[in-house]
Amino acid sequence: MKTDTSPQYMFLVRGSCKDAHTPGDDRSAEELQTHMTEVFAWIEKLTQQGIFTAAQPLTSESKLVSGGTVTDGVFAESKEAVGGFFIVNVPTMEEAVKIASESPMVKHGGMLEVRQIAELKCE
Amino acid sequence: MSTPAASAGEVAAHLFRHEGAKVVATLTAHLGTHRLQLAEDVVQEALLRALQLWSYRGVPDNPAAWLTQVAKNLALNALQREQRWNDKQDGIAAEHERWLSAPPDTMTHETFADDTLRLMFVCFHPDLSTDAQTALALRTLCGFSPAEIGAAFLSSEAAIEKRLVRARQRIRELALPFVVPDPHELSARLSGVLHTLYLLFNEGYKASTGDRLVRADLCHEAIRLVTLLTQHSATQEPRALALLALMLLNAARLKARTDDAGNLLRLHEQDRRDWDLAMIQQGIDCLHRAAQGGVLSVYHIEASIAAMHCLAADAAATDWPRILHLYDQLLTLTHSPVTAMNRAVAVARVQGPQAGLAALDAIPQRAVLEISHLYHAMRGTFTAELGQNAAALTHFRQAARLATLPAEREFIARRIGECEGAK
Repeated sequence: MKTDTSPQYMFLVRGSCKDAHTPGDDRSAEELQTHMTEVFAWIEKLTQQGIFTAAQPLTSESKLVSGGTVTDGVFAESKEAVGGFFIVNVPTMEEAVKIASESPMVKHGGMLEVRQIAELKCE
Repeated sequence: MSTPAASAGEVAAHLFRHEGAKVVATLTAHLGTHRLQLAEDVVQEALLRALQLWSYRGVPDNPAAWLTQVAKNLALNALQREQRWNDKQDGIAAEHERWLSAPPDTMTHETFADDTLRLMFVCFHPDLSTDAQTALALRTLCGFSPAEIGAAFLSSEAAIEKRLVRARQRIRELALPFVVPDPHELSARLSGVLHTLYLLFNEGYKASTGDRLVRADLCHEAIRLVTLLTQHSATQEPRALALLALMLLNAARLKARTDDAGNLLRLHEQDRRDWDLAMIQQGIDCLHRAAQGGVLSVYHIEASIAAMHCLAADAAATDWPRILHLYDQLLTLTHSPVTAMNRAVAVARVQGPQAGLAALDAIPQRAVLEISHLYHAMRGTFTAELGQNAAALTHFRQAARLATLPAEREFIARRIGECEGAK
């Protein structure tokens, strides 16, 4: 992990986690593959720039656990569901937003929520 | 934690398209041709999940196995939702359920090839119209979307979608079996398959429209499917090899047929350095192998004509007398007015433009050619070569009225410009 001296930003990827038999994404196989290779190229670029830190996909299953009850996650089936995350290492929110806006996910109609990972040091 | 993402360069071209199509074939093999739609739907969903996961984690070692497993799970879920499925009287349902919930089979290349071959005989069934056959083949065997098929055939996505729905419905009504035909009908059925693949290739090869990439893909898909036929013991006949040779020898010159602006170039205007020599060599090898069967098909002759062009060092070195001889042979097999029209070019090259015009005049079914812009452009070319520019202009203007594609119109406009300049 990076030390907490340089800020890190997390991109929560929304609107890309579709489930079977919900109104379908009818993009062609070729278009889907193009999308994927664009993500690969994007990660490659961020890695070369030393910005890329981590990324993981999330499955659509989601449970909310609180006060002795367990319910299905509110966003599990919706377009707002989080489909995965990226962590990048840039100095400012402005730069994080710029990188997010240039991502293939946004280009292909997805949505990224950009959040700074809180640091331990006192401000 | 995984190390995310292979680099973009490591992903095989058309991986999603081809691996997805393989899974459609596998699912249809087990669930029956009446569930073709279900197979296509779950494969689409599996591809979406692949995009979602692989984007972060890279492509798995065996993408087809991954997609097959996900598609099987999705199919099982979908079938269990069906009312009739839960009626346990249905032994077939139980059998399907066993297969769908079983751990992944070891899928060999042979299994996939067998399934794809059978699916070809379903898609190219003679009870389906040629339009339905080609649309279905591109959708199920090649993994094209309706929008992409529409772009290739100058048709709308909705029209293609309708055509596909009707084709699948027809397959259900006819209860087409998922098999390679019995030996006694294999020969006739293979003829139909080869002919439709020939048309599919020509659709991609003929004058380009807006979407050049899609059309080149059509050619490459036709080559892929014919290659499969030539590799399978049931279908590796000389005429299949000859068709493959023909496609390779034409596809090798695809890039040189248009300039950077998409304008059509005549044979003598093409830059032969743009020809794909490796593909030409492959085509010649195929033609040699095809010649070993003692059978002479239309594809053999057409491939030989293409080979004559490919092997000429330049346009002037083309062996036109030999090509004319091949066209004579072809004409006795096809009796087609289009063949007769193409033969007239060889006649003109060997005996001069006047003889070319005479050859056109001598075509018995000439009336059907009158609506073809090529026929009039050809008359224009021959008369221009005779120095009769006013007459040539009339022919080219008639051709311009009949041409539909922008590249064709542009081509004829340039001929008209030449005639006007020469007057």
